[in-house]
Amino acid sequence: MTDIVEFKNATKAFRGVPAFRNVNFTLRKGEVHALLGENGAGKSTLTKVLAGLYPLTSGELWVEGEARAFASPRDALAHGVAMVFQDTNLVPSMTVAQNLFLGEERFFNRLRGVNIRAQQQLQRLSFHVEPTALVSSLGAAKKQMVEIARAVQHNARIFIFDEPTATLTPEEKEHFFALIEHLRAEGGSIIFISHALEEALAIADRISILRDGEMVASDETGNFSKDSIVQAMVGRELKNELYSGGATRKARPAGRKVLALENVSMGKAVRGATMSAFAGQITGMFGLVGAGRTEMMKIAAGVLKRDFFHGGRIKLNGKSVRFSAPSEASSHGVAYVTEDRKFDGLFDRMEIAQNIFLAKLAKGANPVSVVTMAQARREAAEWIERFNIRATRRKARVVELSGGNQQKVVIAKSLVQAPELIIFDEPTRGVDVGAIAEIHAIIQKLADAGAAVVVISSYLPEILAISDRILVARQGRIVEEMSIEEATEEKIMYAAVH
Amino acid sequence: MTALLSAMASLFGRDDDALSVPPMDGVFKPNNRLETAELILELPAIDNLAIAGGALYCSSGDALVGVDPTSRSAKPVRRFDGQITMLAGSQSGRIAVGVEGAGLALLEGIGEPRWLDLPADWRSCVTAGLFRDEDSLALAIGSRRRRWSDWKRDLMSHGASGVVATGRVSTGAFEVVGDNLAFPYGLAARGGGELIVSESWRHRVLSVPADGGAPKAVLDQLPAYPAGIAAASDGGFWLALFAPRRQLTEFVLQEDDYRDEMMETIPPDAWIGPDFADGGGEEQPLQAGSVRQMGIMKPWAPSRSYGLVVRLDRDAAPTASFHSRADGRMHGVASVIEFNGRLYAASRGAEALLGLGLDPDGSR
Repeated sequence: MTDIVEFKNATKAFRGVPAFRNVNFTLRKGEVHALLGENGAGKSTLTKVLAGLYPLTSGELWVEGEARAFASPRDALAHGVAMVFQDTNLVPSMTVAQNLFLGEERFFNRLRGVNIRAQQQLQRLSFHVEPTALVSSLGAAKKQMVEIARAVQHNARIFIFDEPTATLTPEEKEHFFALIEHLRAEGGSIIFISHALEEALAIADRISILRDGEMVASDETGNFSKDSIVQAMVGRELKNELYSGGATRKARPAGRKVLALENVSMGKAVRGATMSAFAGQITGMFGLVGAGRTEMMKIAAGVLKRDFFHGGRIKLNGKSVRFSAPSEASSHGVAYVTEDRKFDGLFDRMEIAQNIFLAKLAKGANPVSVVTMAQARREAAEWIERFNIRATRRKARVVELSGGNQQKVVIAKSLVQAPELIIFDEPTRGVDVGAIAEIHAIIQKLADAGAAVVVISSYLPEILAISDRILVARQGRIVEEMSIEEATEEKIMYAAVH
Repeated sequence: MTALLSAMASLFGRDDDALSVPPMDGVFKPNNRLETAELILELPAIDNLAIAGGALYCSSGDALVGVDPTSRSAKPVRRFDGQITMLAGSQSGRIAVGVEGAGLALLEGIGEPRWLDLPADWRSCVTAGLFRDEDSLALAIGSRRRRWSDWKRDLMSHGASGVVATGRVSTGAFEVVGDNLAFPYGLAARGGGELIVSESWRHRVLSVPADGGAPKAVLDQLPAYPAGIAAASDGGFWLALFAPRRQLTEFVLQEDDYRDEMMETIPPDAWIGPDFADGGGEEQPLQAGSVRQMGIMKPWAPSRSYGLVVRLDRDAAPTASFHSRADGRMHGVASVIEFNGRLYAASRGAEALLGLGLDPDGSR
């Protein structure tokens, strides 16, 4: 196979701080190449150079035998390079079909024709997405599908997938892997960024690993094991295996009942959901996309409202509550750590201290008190140290942080409110293995300290690794409860789909 | 805003609160431990387990029966002129017997019982008793307005005329320590002279100070109707819950006109509400909520009867539970007792005495 992409001694720096340096990387024609590394290792930046978002600071980029410096993503696409971004870049107020053909509109654009073409395209990929649906109404998984369909639509030869499977259910992942095979069979070359090492080992022909902006390993997949990848990624051995089997540890005993949902309903998303969360325990919630688990917890946290009539009952510490806004929930000691940190979790143009302190203000502050920025920074500094939030400078804006560190800021924002019930929605999505271990440790400590913790995750090993009890959601209800001793991936998945 | 929404919902008479029941999850997660428990013996209308003088007793309708779990045998001791509603035993062998319509009898040895002079409105519904020493006896009177056998009417009328009293059998004088209770059904002693009382119609367990201070809920929002309580050897308690709470029952309990008509026109056995057992008759289509397919009862069916025993710790927090689900038979457990290192449960629904281990999984 010939090299279709080649980075030669490539360096990219922002304000003099290198995101990656002296990187040599090749992508062969017709191969799937997994690019792995911790958040902040430089993977996304490297691929963004290829996709035309950034120019190189030094070094060379060769595409199909010619030196290139793409001026824009459009320029890159014109040369056959398409990228599916980690955070979807769809226009929420437009339909799926409009997003698919955005930028390709004809002078006389017939909406019906666009919808039909979109339908054909989505059907070809076996993606069950309604072309006339507004993107804002889609869940994360379906948005990802539209992103993928858009890349395929452009007949690109080089595809870059940045964390494409993070939001997909196991079934959807199977579809995605089939799509990768399909693209490869048609001569496409694929760069695949993922934090799920099993996926990289399963579908990649070659694996390259970046650490702190340097290429530390690149070889055929067969020469790697999961352990060797992790060691190369983090440069150290993780103290404990991240996702050790749940059956080997003992669950924490349940404390008092902190949260109870009784027959809670909200439209078609949540239909008579009943569940409890107990102090001093981690309650894991699993379910396929659309099962309603996020909605159930958003209702509990005041983000969404249950049906006004016959919407069920929510009890916090035995008392019925009806939150009309998240601030009411937070003043009652409920914190919700969002699954979509970019959209719901952060003011990404503000600095870390401002984000953390704003959360404290949201819980309720003395309206006549004056808070200086220095005070806010002092408070934030404690959380930055406690959670080991790594930033290039003290006043760094959140947007400058890696995904894992952003997630730690989101968690700090919630914990600064001193909640007794903390709901984590996909806490480690798009987060590297090093940060996953740190976030898991934070969650475990919260439960050890007596808080009631609910963790929603689509990743079964994560659910098994950190939960004391596991709830399975399906079609807007909780359909199964398992103790950690009896739970297996197969049992959980069976309950989720049957 | 929250208060306004709740007020509006209440104004419309459709506040969602009334139509939900607490989930059976966590410690209450259903299992089949009662169903698979050892069957010691079968006895008609078995209830009211008590230990007196180191021996185990129970009631069987109007008969006081001595039970030997080892040989799985039962021997009638005495018959009374009414349904036995309560048994309490002392260390020396005294047995207090609550008899519906007659009051409280005290059996000492083989002689005739001595009847205590209880107030007239206490005599028909003595639901629980506890000897604190040979002379001191605590009593629970489920209702001062209705007989024990009319308990369904008491529930459907939102009865709250129950009493907890302490007194001395030597003098027959009793003093009320808890009043206006909604069917107190079980009694146990806690440190500091406190009594632990199950208040059935309010689905909770109370702590009642011996000096008559205000009762305090130590466990509430139970998913079933609590009945008998017994002390556990580790300092905690065993709580029997005789029937499940269901949304349909909660709905009926808030529809006054419907209930009035139901009580006037339909026999109690066919009322919508909890029960000790599956009546099995065709007149009871709502038993199991009609969730029967191809002749198989679904375990999760919203049945009127259920079997449930819960282990509580010293603070009355639940730590383990033993179930007989809708498709099971060991329903209507209203009395439990720990005896010689085992737990015994009387299932009125199956008319059976069950033996269980003391471990959370019932294995030891």
